[in-house]
Amino acid sequence: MKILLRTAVVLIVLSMPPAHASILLRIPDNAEQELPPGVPRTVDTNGAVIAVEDTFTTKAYEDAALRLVIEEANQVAREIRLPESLPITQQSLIHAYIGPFGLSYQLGAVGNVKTTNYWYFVKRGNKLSDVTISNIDDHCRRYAMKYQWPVSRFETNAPYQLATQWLAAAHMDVDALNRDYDVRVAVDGYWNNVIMGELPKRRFTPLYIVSWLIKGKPHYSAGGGASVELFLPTKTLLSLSVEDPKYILRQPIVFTNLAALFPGKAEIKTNFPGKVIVIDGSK
Amino acid sequence: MQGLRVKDCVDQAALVTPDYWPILVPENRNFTNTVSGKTFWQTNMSTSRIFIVGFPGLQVDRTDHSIDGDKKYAAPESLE
Repeated sequence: MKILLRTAVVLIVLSMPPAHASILLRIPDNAEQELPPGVPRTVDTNGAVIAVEDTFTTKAYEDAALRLVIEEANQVAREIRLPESLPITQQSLIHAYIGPFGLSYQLGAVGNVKTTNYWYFVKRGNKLSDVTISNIDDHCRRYAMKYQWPVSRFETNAPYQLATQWLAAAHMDVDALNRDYDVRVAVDGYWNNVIMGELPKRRFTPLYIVSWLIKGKPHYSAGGGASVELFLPTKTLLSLSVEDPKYILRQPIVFTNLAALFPGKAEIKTNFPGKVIVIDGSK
Repeated sequence: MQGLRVKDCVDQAALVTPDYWPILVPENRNFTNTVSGKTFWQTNMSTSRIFIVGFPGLQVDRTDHSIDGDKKYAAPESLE
């Protein structure tokens, strides 16, 4: 049995495809203390929570989460001074998504709301992490058709200044991002028909992306810590995204009444690692 | 629709985690997972590659074009 288990562990490691750490499902460290009895879960033989049923949710939770996401949207819209009709209310939304509690709890992603102007996401460490202008493609298409500047007008300072002002206003840790990542300012490759990081030969649409890329390996495809896309002529914020919650200084959304949101007593399954059931798919 | 990129969704769905059945990409031909408190060692699973036809960086609110060149789930040209 020991050999079997050891082999199984090796197989798990080998079979896991590489993935960005921030998207992995993860049980918070204080789950045993935090989760009320009404939340169904799987625990190990020590009582530690190893899984929460991902589709589990309640209407009370969804209502509470939506209210808190809307609060965050209002807060960041004021901080960044977005061209938004404030206050944002449930009635002014044209779209809202609240993930089921089980999945959200493990992802640290609560949901998102959209107005006719902007789209707001709480999806990193239960913190507001992303803001995107509504119907971004329509905006970019219109800009690309109307604005074709000579490449001599390409600059990096103004886009960087705007991006960092917005990030700082939204309580993102710009100093830490600058310390831990390489900053690159480039035109939007898609709408300028070039590879990210390149510049068209003659004319360009001043759609800029300011990116915080992996230090020492500043390749766009490798991802990074944050990015801000903007349209320079009108100083319009198109998108703001911070990948790692440690660079988000905002307070996370916290539910102080989980027991009330999940009343009753749910089933708790215990995982017994010693009982391995072998299923051979070739038979 | 949590706002993840399509590529990240596939990555995540392929991960072996408790109480989740991973999609059977080639890396998951053999794996061990726990479901409802029982541990299963799955071997010789029938697997298949997954292709993303279009942009791997597609999100619900925008498209992350910075990973347009990501080939991990690139579809054969004949599929496009």
